Formats: sequence, structure tokens, C-alpha cells
Amino acid sequence: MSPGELAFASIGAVRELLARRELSALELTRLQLERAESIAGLNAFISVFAESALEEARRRDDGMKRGEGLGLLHGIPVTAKDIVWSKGQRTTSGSRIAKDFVPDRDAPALARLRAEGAVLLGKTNLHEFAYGVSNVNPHYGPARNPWDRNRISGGSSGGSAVALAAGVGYASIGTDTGGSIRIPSSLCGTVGLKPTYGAVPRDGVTPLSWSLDHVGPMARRVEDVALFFAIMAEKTIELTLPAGSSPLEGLRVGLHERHFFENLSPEVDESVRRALFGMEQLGAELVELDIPEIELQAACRNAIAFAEASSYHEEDIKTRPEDYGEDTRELLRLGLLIPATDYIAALRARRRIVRAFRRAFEAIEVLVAPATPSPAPPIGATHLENADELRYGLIRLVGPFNATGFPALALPCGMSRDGRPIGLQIASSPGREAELLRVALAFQESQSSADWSRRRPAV
Amino acid sequence: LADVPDIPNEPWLDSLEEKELERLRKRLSSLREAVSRLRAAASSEEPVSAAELERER
Repeated sequence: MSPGELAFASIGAVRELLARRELSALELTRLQLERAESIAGLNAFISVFAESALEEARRRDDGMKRGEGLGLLHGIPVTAKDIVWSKGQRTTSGSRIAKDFVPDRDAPALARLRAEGAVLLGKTNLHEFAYGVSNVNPHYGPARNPWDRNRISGGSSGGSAVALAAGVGYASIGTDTGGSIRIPSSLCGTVGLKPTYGAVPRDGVTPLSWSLDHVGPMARRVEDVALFFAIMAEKTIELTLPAGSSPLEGLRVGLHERHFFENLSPEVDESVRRALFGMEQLGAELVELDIPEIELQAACRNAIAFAEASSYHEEDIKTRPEDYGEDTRELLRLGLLIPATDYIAALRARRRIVRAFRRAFEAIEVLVAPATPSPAPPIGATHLENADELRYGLIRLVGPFNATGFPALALPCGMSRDGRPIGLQIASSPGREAELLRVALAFQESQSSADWSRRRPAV
Repeated sequence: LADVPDIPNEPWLDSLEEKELERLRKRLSSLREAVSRLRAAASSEEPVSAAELERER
């Protein structure tokens, strides 16, 4: 396998090479660190921990020589968004405020990966305090989209998606409060899962909005996301698909035209409808549905997120506002002015929205929709090409699953004529990640011969 | 921000420039209008907190 092929191989394939001793963890980590250095211009990383990564890799190799059992991620280089605490290593949250913060422990999500043998390469760029969707970071530079470096990666877990799309790290830990795993996955052509609320511990992850924050896996392939999720959530995920040409036989796929298919870029509309047609060919049945309460979710989510984020940052935003970037500062000030009664009104509305989603999902197993209404816009753009305002547009299709806590995954389903990835979103009921991942895997496998699915960014 | 109802006169607001205040006023006004629609739609519901949401899942 050439270094280029190795960089884009699945975790399973790399693990096999390591287990057969055709490759050592140290060699692999060196190659990955070289690759990380070669893409420095994309600003994917805030910190690269070359020394500690090489040391960890040596320990993995030594353990193997001593005959110790191999963990599920033995010697696999991974990354984490720089809001996830890593013991003894600075964790900036993409901010000036926390630039010198060094946690005294790992977040449980990261500790579980390390316990399975993962090697942490570094911590990835993000929108400041995860409070935005462009990943144009005023302190560490914009995370640039590897498919076109003049375009945004999307955020807030943008650096993780950039690194993955460029072949650095085999998976990453992201966080998602209003789409922050799925938006960059959609814009960079990678796969990201926002699990059910609470399925992966939020402990040891600097909060943005406690009741909307989700921690989840990002990778290049569905099976790698599934493996990462299983470890972080301490669950068993059975991914085997039924044999034959109809792996989705009997699956009811919800199609919610209003809200999810309104005002899309034509190429997104076309790709997502082609994906739905493809799922029908795999045996799925399309079920049209409508959830009127979806109209309430944006205001509900905004009131909760603004108030909770400003509660966390209250002291700093009042005493050192100049240390925040302009957009984060404005949102934090806005949150300080939300009356408690508005916050409670939003918490009450959430109950109604969740109940409506539960009822709707009784008639379906998954809901399929676009992840973002347009492909990646240029850095500095205020609007998407479908004319949505940037923040509103990038959040509106993914946000409902933060308000409800339902699991949702983004994966590539095509590419625009000018070579920008287009993302599909699949959502399911709480706790049904295994089913969601199987549907995503079946779709991914059905697309393996498509021209767009074999392309890689020229980095 | 006098034209947005129920907003306390926070001392830190005095340090803001006119254009910053204007942007804040617009965003707050639009958010509060949206929340007033929420209030009407969910008047019979109990609030669901983060901890409760997690238990429900």
C-alpha cells in the first residue's frame, strides 16, 4: 500500500497491517505527522503533539512485542477537536480566553479511545468556543476546505473534517450543538455522527450549551464512525448488512418535503433526491410526513443556546469582551439579555417538539434529508448560494436534531459540478444508532463505484 | 434598547458603540418575537431540562 493509499485506508485495513506487523505504529504515526505538516496551510490543527504521539506509538509497538492484546484502535492515529480535554496538553477551545488551559485529565470520550490503543496526533481547529458554523477563527486562522482552500470547512468541528478529508487521522472526536459535526462533514465530504443526546459523555468537554451539546465521532467511512462511536459510547454496534441486492428491504424512510427540501441549491436537491431513489432501489419504502412543530425548533434552540452559553461565559464576556472574536462576542452579549422566562418558554416548547418527533418516527425508521442546503461557500461570504444567510442556512437542516436530541449522521452523496462535496443527512429515533449506521453503510456501499466517491482533494 | 420590552439596564451596555447596540437590538427583538410564538405554542407544557432530557433518552 502506498503512503497515499495508506492515508485514506479504513481503520480495519490499517489494523490488519499493524496486526500482521507489516507496519509499525511508529512508522504509521511518523507518516501521519509528516502529512499533518504538509497540510499546515489548511489550518486544520491548533496543536500537533508530535513528541507525545511518537512516544505513544512506541509504547503500542512495545506492547505488541510483549504479546499484549491488541485494542480495537491499537496504534491508530486519531485527532480530537480542541475543546475536548486531553491530560497535560493545552486545550484552547479555539479561543484567546482559554489559550493556556491545560487539563489535568482526559475527557472520558478520549480516555476510552486511548484505552483501546489510539494515538492522539493533535487537537483540531474549531470555531471559537464551538460557537459558530464557518470555522473562520480570528485567533488561529480559518480552517480551509481541502477541496478548495478559498472556501470554508464549515464548523464548528471544521479542523477535524479538514484533517480527515486530507488524509490525516483515521477518525476524530467532534462536538455538535447546532450541527457542528454534520455541517463540516457535509462541506468537506466526510462522515459524522451526532449520537443521541447523552450517549457519549460530555464530561471533560468545555460546554457551549449543556442541553444541546453532543459529543460524537467523525471519520472518512461509515464503518470507522461506527467503531469510534461504539468505543466512545461503550456500546456494541452490529453493522452486518443482509446479503443480496435489497439490504434496505422493509425500511421505512421518512421524506419531509416542507422545511428539509425548501430553498436548496439545485445540485443539492438533485443529489439528495438521487440518493432517495437509490435507497428505494435497495428496498426501502419512502413515507411522506409532516411535523408542524418543526417550525418552533429554531427559536427554541436559539433561546436555549444563547442563554446557556452566556451563563457559562458570563464573567469573561463582562470583564474582558475584547478577548473574544467579534461574532462570538455579539452572541454572548445577546444571551446575557434573554429573560429567564424566555429560556423557560423554550424548555417548555422543546417538550412539545420532542413529543411530535417521537410520534412521527413511529411511522418510519429513518428520516433522510440534505445536511446543508448548499455546498461550501467562499471564506468571508455572508450568504450561501441558495441566498440563505450563512449561519441560519447552515444550521436550519441539522438543528432540529439538536433540539430533540435524536441521533443524526451526515455522509457524502455527491459532488457539485465544480468539485464541492454534497452531504446527505440520515436521522433516527433515540438509541437507534445501530440501525442508522447500517442504513448509512448500505448507502455508502451502493455508491462505491460512483465517480465522485473515488475522488480525493488535491492537497 | 428601550424599545425592546423587559430588558434590564445592564451597566456593560453603556460601553457599547451605537452600531453594536443597534445590531444587538435587532437580533434581540427578532429572537424575542420568535420566543413569544413559542410561548403561545407550549403554554401547557412543563419545561424539559438537560438532565431530564438525558434520562428520557
